Amino acid sequence: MSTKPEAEKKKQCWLGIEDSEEEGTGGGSEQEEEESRLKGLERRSSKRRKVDYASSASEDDDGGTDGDNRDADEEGEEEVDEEQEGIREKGKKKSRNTDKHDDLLITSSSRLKPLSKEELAASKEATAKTGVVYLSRVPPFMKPMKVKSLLSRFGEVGRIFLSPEDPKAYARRVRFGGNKKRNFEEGWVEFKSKKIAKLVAETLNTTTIGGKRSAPSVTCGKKGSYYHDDVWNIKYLPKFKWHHLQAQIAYENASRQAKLRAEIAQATRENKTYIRNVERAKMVEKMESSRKRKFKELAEASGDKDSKQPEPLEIRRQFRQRSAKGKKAEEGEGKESSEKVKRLLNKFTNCNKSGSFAH
Amino acid sequence: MPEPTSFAELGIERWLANSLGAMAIRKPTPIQAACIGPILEGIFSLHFPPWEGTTDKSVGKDCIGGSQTGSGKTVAFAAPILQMWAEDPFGVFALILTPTRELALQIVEQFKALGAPQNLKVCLLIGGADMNEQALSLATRPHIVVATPGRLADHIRSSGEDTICGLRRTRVVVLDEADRMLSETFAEDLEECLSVVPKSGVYGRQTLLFTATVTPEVRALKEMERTNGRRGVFICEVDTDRLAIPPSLSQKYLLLVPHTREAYLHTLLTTPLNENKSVIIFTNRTHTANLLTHTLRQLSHRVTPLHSELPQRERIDSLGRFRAEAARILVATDVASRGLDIPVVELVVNFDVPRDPDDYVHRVGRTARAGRGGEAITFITQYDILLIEAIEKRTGRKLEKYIDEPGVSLEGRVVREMLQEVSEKKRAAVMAVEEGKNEYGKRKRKLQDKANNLGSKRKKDAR
Repeated sequence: MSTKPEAEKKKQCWLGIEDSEEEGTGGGSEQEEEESRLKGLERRSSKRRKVDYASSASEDDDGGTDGDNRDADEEGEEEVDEEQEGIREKGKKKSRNTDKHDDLLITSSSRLKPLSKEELAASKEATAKTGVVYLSRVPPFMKPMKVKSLLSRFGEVGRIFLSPEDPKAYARRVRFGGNKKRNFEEGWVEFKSKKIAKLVAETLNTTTIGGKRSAPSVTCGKKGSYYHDDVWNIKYLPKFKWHHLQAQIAYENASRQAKLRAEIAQATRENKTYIRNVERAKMVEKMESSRKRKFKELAEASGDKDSKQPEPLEIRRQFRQRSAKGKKAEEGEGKESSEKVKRLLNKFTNCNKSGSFAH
Repeated sequence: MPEPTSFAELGIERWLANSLGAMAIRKPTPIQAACIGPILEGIFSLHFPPWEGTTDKSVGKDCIGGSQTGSGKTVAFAAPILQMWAEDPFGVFALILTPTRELALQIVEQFKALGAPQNLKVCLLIGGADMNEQALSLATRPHIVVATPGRLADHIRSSGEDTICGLRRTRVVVLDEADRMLSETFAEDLEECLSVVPKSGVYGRQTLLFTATVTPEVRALKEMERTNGRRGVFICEVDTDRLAIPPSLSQKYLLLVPHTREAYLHTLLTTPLNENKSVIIFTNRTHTANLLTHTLRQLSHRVTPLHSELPQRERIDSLGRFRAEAARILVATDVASRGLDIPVVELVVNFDVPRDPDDYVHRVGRTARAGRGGEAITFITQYDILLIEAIEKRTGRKLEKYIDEPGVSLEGRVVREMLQEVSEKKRAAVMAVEEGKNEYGKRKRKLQDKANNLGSKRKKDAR
């Protein structure tokens, strides 16, 4: 490692330990922050791929969503992308010189180039402005797109996450003939502007969703909204950003990778020792055989067969042997079959002397 | 006695000989030739009720059959049972007990295939499946019941007299893998099972025992004194002691350091000769099997696990995948070591050396079946020398040292390329196992697992 250039050394560094405290990057050095941003990106992009799959599946048919997609993540999730992500996606692919370790660690995410300073500043500013509201209850079977369309009347909505119900509960409902749509329990919605987020929470909380009435009116004959009479439960989360939601997952991923790296380093050391020993064994074998050959030649040359043979290698180490088990082995040790078995055998020999057919 | 060349000569009726022929079984093997006749003698007692002065000689004999793995023991009892049943088809004619669930399933399938022309009803009673369904199907008095002892004992205890009354007039009881069935593990349950079937004797049940490895317990049965009312016992051992292993099987060994076994295994599975073979890998523990499955999958082998910690559904699916050759490699514990008949298996790898030499005989018997060739490779570590000596003593044959295929140096490959890669994947697999992911990298559902654990605990308590 010491031979590698400084920059690369640094990169290795943050991959290992520093990213475990990824959340505390607020006041860190520029370099560090840039990299943590980048890491977040990688993770997010890999996650988005997964999520997109899940949400697209749920979009076309709410009932037939493949449960397995969700299982990939403990909570399962549903996220809506928006323009802000677009800015980040501008970051191009990174052409990093990575050694094998990095290769192994970052397998799923695509390599991205760090953002330029201006882009970074812009995205930081945008993040600072955002506000997150919490929905303690999501109206029955309301999908993320519906939440988005209802809330985007008030201002630009960023990401949305609604946590789906327990798959068990879903399975139970379906089994007993209930609604096959996916239900969501609670959710978080990001607004581009803190102000709007606060305003939305204050004004909408405990009010009905409204819109057109759900009962088809005789006069106009149009269908109204299913959610007309449902009530919003919204709270503004002060000093809360979207990344706080992902902190736990990020931490787990980072610590997992660090652990894996340590494990692999250990394995590498073991392997090196093993290979060294294999080489040594070959050497010893060769020495042995050549020694034997020499003795033989010597004996033939001198013509006397009685000259002492080379002694076989002395045994350097004894291993404790596992002992054989089972009937034969135990029989040898004079063990008898157990009480239970004996009783069973007796049962076999008990016969029906007087009996008749059970017909 | 001259060697019979067809089943008809043994007294098997035409319909049965035909359905045997449909399964490509035309010429009886030695064990079949020897056992079918004596078992069938009982047929006469059906025409002339035994209470009209029958002697021991005119009823079918109890039978203890031993012959090497893959020599057709199942048919040796299935054929005479079906023939006797066809003479007098009544509910629960025969009860067949096996040590493992997969084996029970396999026997059911064989019976169904053989008895199809006669509308045979077979019932399968195994653990890990719904008890109510089984009880209902048992209550309809199927002709043949195939069961594992634990579940049958459970039914006897809990399902009520109406359900199990069919068993009270069972004519034939078969213990497949008799040496295992007569061991301590099954003793209690087996006793319970035998308590409902008629007692043995001329007027009672006929008992048939089959195994590849005859143990003192099994022998003890034949040495029991013959009392008046007992059936004659017929013993047929086709060289079980010296020839438990089929001669067409080549046994090899590799002396390895324990932590390099995975790397050698991976290399071995990818050599040109082994690349396309169906392989069973045996381990001693479920944990090892689980870990090995994860590791091999990470190394992109088509691998499927079979051990007792899997839910029954997965066990059956897994075995089905392997049989259908959708998976090339089966990683199994000794659950799969007995009885399973999968003709495509060409290679058996003992990842661990079994503690019991008999287990070794059964494990390597998964290949080289019915006269085919086969190869068994055993990984030996420095701790296993005594075990290998015991195995060689048991089988009467020396294991040969594994010799590299032409053009492939196993050790060279391992040292040069595989060792690092495999050990990395192994560490990753260890972590995945610790995190409770399945071998496809998905996290298991916690609730589901909890429910499963709860279920199995309850069953244990019930037992």
